[in-house]
Order: sequence, then structure tokens, then C-alpha cells
Amino acid sequence: MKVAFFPGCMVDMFYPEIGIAAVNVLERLGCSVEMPEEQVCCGQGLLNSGYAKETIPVAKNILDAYDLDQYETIVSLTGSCMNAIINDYPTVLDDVEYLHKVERIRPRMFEFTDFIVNQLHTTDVGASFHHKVTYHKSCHVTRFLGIEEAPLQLLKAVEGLEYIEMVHAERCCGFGGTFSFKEPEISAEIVKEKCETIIETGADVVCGADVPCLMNIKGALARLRTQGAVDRDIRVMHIAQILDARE
Amino acid sequence: MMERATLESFLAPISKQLGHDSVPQDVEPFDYAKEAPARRTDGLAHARLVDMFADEAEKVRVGVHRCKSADAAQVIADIITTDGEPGSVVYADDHRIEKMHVPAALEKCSTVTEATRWDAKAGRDAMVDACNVARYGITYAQGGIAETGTIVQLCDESCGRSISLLPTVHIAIVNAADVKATMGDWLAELDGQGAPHGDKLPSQICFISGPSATADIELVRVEGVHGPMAVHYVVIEGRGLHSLA
Amino acid sequence: MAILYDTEQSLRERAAKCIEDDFKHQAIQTAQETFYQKRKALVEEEPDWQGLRTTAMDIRDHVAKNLDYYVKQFAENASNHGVNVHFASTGTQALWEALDIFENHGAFKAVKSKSMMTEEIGLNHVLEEAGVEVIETDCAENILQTAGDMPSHIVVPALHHTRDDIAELYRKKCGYDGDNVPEHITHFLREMLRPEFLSAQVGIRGCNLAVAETGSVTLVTNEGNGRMVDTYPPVQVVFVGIDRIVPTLESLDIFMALLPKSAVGSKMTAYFSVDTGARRDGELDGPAEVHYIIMDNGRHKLLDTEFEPMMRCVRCGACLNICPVYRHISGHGYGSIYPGPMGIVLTPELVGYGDANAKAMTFACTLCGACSEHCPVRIPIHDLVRDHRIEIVDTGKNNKVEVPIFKAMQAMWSSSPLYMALMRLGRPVMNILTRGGSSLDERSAWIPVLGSWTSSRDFDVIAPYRFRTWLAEHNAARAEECKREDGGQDQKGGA
Repeated sequence: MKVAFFPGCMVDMFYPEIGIAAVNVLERLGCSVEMPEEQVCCGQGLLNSGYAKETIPVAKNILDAYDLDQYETIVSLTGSCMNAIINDYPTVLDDVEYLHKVERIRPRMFEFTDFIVNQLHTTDVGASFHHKVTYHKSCHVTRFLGIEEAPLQLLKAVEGLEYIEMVHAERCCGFGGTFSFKEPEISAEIVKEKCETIIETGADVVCGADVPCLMNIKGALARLRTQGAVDRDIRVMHIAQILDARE
Repeated sequence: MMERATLESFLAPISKQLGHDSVPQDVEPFDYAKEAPARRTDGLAHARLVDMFADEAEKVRVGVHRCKSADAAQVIADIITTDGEPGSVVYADDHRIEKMHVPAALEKCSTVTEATRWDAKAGRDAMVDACNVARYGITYAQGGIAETGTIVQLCDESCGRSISLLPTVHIAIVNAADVKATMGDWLAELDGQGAPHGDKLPSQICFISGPSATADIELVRVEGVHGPMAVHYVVIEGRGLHSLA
Repeated sequence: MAILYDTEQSLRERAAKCIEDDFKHQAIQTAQETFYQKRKALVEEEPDWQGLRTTAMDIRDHVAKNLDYYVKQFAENASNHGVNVHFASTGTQALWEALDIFENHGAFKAVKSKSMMTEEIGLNHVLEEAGVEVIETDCAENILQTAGDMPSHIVVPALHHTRDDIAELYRKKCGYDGDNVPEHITHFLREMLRPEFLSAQVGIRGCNLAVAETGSVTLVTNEGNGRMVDTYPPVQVVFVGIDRIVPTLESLDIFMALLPKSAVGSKMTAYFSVDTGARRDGELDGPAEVHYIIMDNGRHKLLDTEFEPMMRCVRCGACLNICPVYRHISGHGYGSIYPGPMGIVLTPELVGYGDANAKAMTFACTLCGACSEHCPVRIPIHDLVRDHRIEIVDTGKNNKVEVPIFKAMQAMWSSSPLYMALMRLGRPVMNILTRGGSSLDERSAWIPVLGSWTSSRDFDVIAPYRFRTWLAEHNAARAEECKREDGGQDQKGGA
């Protein structure tokens, strides 16, 4: 099966290893993964800061990048970007042609875990991961896209993985895009509490399906570790990396 | 001097914002039946509704006493005796309370210092004062609501607001037969009675669910703030007694 | 205007103070947890919670679309029941109407049940200036009034005071001589306020839901102070916002099935009263004279705009109880009597973006959407927060310093070649900043913009290679491999 890939710009910029892991998993499941060179960023950082007009060219660039006559399926590795494309674009675009493109993209765009479980009908992807793992139920994947079960089904099917749910797993990590720069003190408090709930589980790995949250949590956990507030290394991973693991 | 707003000047910007040339004469009414949400009480037999009413009331710390009409007076006397605190009683001017021989039972109650029947002719001060010093207030509620353990208390000439408000303990008699599933069922009935435009509605319908309470200080629940500290429902099983009206 | 009560400090300064205040911080978190668990249990028990939310939303939207009709109907029916109806397009007009009533009666003492509308217009202050003693009778409001403090929550406004504080406050100001047990303090208030209820000339109250068809007003309370206020003072003044109206008595059921659960996690409040007109002939208690002050104060401007859904709000505070930001900064962080997610939407609508604080509020939100999910009347709160941000930019009220940054983002994100060029440039810069490491740590807190992040967390820098480059190479290699395999097979076939 040929799938077009939408990793989200953070994967491209900061975490190519997440993208690689996802490609490995998808290929193992019989997919060939392609990514249009022109795609960059969904632009939600602009939109969420109020720059709606500035978002339009960014959105159009994404919509133009994917040739829908060529791709039946688009897999997104980041829930929040996918949400921006299918749910936010219609609120900013003023142009019928592009609104129509969003309508065409919506039914063929799938979040990574949802795609594996509900399109490929697979929960056991052949991974093994002998660690205690907790999962951050990010707002965009869980609340906005309504994907709750798929990531947990996948994790629970991984050999050797012990899943431990954190308290208030569905609570925001405090990233919020430009929020974390505009109100850093509040953002820091929120992510600190998220980290505390992660630490409390006793897990050695925290994973998620939304890259921005992972970046935020990773940065905060690293700082807590330097400060001596955590006495162990807790790895922060995208769920794709766990599904690609053999350890 | 400030210019006063009139109905017209007040409505004009609202109409304008809505794109109305003038205030519409009529509006298609909201259709409640079209999308009535399912409720916990749906499909329950009346006996189950009464059970639910009692359970829910107990959850909000109401003392629930289910009895036959003939035993109501004794049940009330027992509530007062068990409470143990001597004090006076004010009860509503409702023939059913007399018919149940409640006044006679109160008279026999050793802790009841005085029992006063609400009397519209006695004047506001006398009645409010009586309630203010009373330990017990007894009313006959219009009915009950199963979903929330609530009683529907109409306040009028024969049953002042004070009886269910000022005394330390409120004892409400309610017919099991008058327990309805939801507040909506009672509102529909009251709406029908009060129609059109609520002309026949009493000045106050009070839905009461347990003692007055607060959690304003460190979220610690305290019962007995400005209204009663304790509430009892005497639920009359069987047909119950009905008001003359 | 008393909606924004702190014009001295910035939102960031207030937020920082709240975060430092350990008791307040902990109190809000405990309250959120308590309300969350209680609400959750009740919602799970409800067979059609989503249906209730939808119906409530539809009722409110129906009223909003026909608001002029329903305000008129409500006012006319109230008049027919002998209520004196006053109209106030602005807060100032409402204050004048209230002052007039007090003056006509020569009234100098009023008891008051909690009302957001009166806080919005700063009624207490104005009445006190006019020589009227106004006594707040809700426990929390009385604590705040006695302490001269502002609310930290719309439903439980004195959450930030400890029992010790409160006991001490009443010892100092009201002659309390008991301990710090909440029950004892509360019962002291019962004793202290009862004579006030019985002697006040005017009762001032708000209205949770106003019924157009019958002209009735309603009040939702637990403490019974609302009932006291609407039973004893001979004159009653009810403040009714135009966004409180429902069409018929029947609607009340739907709202009462949602409101107490959403507000405090209770199935029902101790009291819910439906008042229609003054006391009837022969009735001994209840007010002899009732006044409604129907207030707009800028609300009509929400109609027929993207903000119209805010007219559905029932002021339950469910959005505060779930908000990750409110959790850390409390109502005081926002500096508005309407705090939290609902406050972020409502405050700028009422005071405008001209106010720096109202504008700043709209950015104190992660857009996580938990508020919208918990809202009993389905207000898409987080979408409206973003709509405010968009309108701030559209009307040129944004911070001009940030504009070039966002313009640069626009350029970079809409052109793949430009993006790649910048990535090539960015990488060595990052290398210098990280001293060769993979992330920026606290030593980089001096860097503008980025430093606000790195003062509390590490920031991962641009990776040494792009994912897209890897994928292109990977796919090229795969294609090559396929070709070789195909070639191999062809050879086999040929043999």
C-alpha cells in the first residue's frame, strides 16, 4: 500500500529519528512511504497566535503539496498538525478551491496509531520493548481527533511492555505553541506537574503521539534531572519509536 | 441627568444586531419534544421512582421516613423526640396536617414547647417571629422529584416561605403518589396550572434538596448555613391525602 | 467599570505571584480535583449527558437568535405580575436605576445574594458611596467583603483563604471568639447575618435563569442566603442579564440537570427557587415590591458574531474547574471578575481590546480544549479564545514587535526551498549556542524569546540532518534494491 507521509515539521527539523521509526513500522506492515518535497509546516503556530491571514499561504502550500490524485492515504505522525489541516483550515481559508481540497483530504488522512489499528487492522506490530511505559494522552490526538484506544491497543500488544497509566493522562502538557513563549512561567508550572505525574508512575519511558508535547516534556524532564529532582533517566519517545523497537 | 432606557431604546440595538427591522411579533416556539434526552428515570415504574426519591434524598442527608398516612403524626412526633432538642413548632395551614392529627401528636410530644399553625391573619411579624424562634417547621410539599431527591414546595398564603426556611429542622410531608420522575415533569404540571403566562403561579416555587449547606471554607461541607440544619421527608405511602384545591 | 479589578500589575506578574502562593496554589488544585471527581461520577451515571448538553445549547441558541422577542416577552410578563421592570443598556444606567430605587425608599441597608452582574457594574461600591450599607450574605462573598478582597473563583470565590485566615478575620472585625473549625465559623455567620436579613430594607440578588413565558426569575443556592434575601426585605431588586433568558418553565429542567453537576459536582443544589412577582394578597412573607433591572452592558454585541455562543454561558465554572492554566494562577491571575476560560472569552467582549490586560488574558490559554469538552452548553470556548487572538491581530491591536517573527515564519513555512536554506543556516548557529550539545540548557536563558523557554526547560536543537533528506535517500535506495531484485528475477526467468 502506498501512503503519503505527513510527519509534521518538528520531526523534520528536530527529530528525524521519530520519522525513521515510523517509516520502518509502516514498511514492515507492507506500506511504501512517500513524502512530497514541497510540504513544510501546517502553520498552526501562526493561526493559534492570531495570525490567520499569514496562515493562509502556509496552509495552501501543504494542500498543494499532496497530489490527491496520486495519494489515497495520508498518514500523519503528529495529531495536532493533522487537526490543524482537517479542522482548522476550513475556518481560515477563503478560497473554494482550497476548501474543496481540505474536504478531499479529510477522509484520507489518518493519525499514525489510528491508521495501524483501524485501517491496517493490526495491533501487534512485532515490536518488543521490555520497559515500564506510560502514555501522555495529548489534547489533539485524544480530545480533538477522538483517538483514545488505538495507541493503547498498540502499546499493550508490544512484547514485554508494561503499561502504567499516569494520573490525569489527558491533561494538557502546557506547551500550547506560542503560549510556552508568551506565558513561560505558567507553561513551566503545567509541564512540571505533568512530569510529576509521569515520575509517579515509576515508568522508565513516557511516550505520546504528538511531537510538540514530547518536545516540551522531554525538555522539562531533562531540566528536572539536572536539578536533581528526578533520580532516574526517563526516556521520552514517540509511540512510533516503541513500535519499531526490539529491546 | 442620565437618560433612562425604555423597552424600545433597550431593544433597538439588540434587534439591529440581529438584523431585525423590528421586534418579531411571534417566534416559532422551541420544540422540546424533538430531542428529549434520555434520563435515569426513563421507564421506571412509579414504585421504583419513589425508591429513587428516597435514596437520592438520603444521599443529600435528608432523613427519609416512609409510612402510612395514619402513622404520619406518630412518625413526626418520633422525629422530634429523636432530635431531642426542646423547642417550638410552626406548621403550615393545610387541612391535611390536621387530618393526620399532627397537632394532637405535637401536643403530646414532651419536647415541643409550643405548636403554632401558620395564620395569614396573625400578621407578618407574629408569624416570622414564630418561625425565627421555632426549632421545627412542618410543611406539606406539593410533590417530590425522584431523579434528585427534591421536594417541590409552593409558598403561598397558607404556607409561608419562613416555615421551610427559618426553623432549625424542616419536616416536609410528601405523598409518594406525588413523586414524579424529573423536575421537568413537575414544571410541565405547574406550567399547565399557571398558564397562560404564569398568572396562577404562586409567588415562589422552591425546589428543596436537603439542608442548607456550604463548602466555602476550604471546601469543607458544613450543614446549616442560613436555612435549616436538618431536613426530614415524611413520605406517605398509598394514596396519600390531597389538598382541597 | 469593575470587571477588571487589577490595572496595576501585568498578567505575568499576577500569575507569578499566584504560583508562589503555596496555599492558594494547592487550594485551587484540590478544588479542581474534588469537582472533577464528583462531576465525573455524576456524568457517568447520566444516560444522555451529551444529549442534555445539545438540548441546552439549542435552547440558548434559539433564544439568542430571537433575543429581542424574548426580552420583550419576559419584560411584559413580569410587568403583568406587578414587577417594576427597569432597562439598563449600560452598567451606568443600571447603577442609576438601582440608586433611584434606594432613594425612593430612603433605604440605607441591603442584604445581597451573590450576583456576578452587580460585581460587573461595581454596585456595592456605588451604593456604599450613597450611604447604603450593603451586606454580602453568601459565606464566601461575606469573607471577601470583610477582608476587602477579590474573588478567585466564580462559584467558590474565597477558595484562597485558609480557615485560620478566616477565623482571624472574623475575630478582628466581627467579634468572633471561636476556633478555626469551618462549621463553627459558618454557624457564627448564620447567627451574625440572620438579624440583618430580617431587618434589611432591600434585598439585592441576581438571577440564574429568567423565564420569558412567565416573567419568573430563578435562583440557585446551597446556603439558603438567596431564599433569605428574597423572603424578608420588603423591596427586592433583581439584576437580570439579557443572557439569562430561557423560553419556558420547561427549559429549567434541562439547565438544572446540567448546572449543579457542572458547577460543584452535585446532583442538585439545596435550593432552586422560581419567583414570579411580589407576594400575593394574604401572603405574609416574600417581598411586597419587586424590581427587575434588565441589563445589556455590551452583551448584544456578541449576537450574530462568532462570539454568540458565549450567550449560552450559565456561569457554572466548569471550564475553570478543568483548566490547566487556571489551576496554577487562580482567578487572581486573570485580574477579571470573569476568570478562566469563560472569562478570557467574555472579558474582552465587555471591555474591549483597548485594555492591555483583557488582551493579555487571551494568551493565557494553551488552547487544550478541555473547557469546551466540559462546558455544559457546548460553548467552543477554546475556539473563541483563538478567535479573540485573530481579531486582535486583524484590528491591529497586536504587539508590533512580534509581527516580523510571524511574517518570517509565514515565509519559511510556505516555501520548502527557503525552509531548507534556513535549516542549513540554523544548524551551525545552534551548534555554537549549545557548545556542540544536542540541547540548549539554562545557560541560554539570555537568548531573546527562546530564553523564556530555556529558563525552565531544555530546548532540543535542530537535528544534524533533515528527515526528508533521509526519506528521499531511503526511498532511492529501496527503488535501487527493487530494481536489482527485479533484474535478478528477470535473469532467473531468462535462464
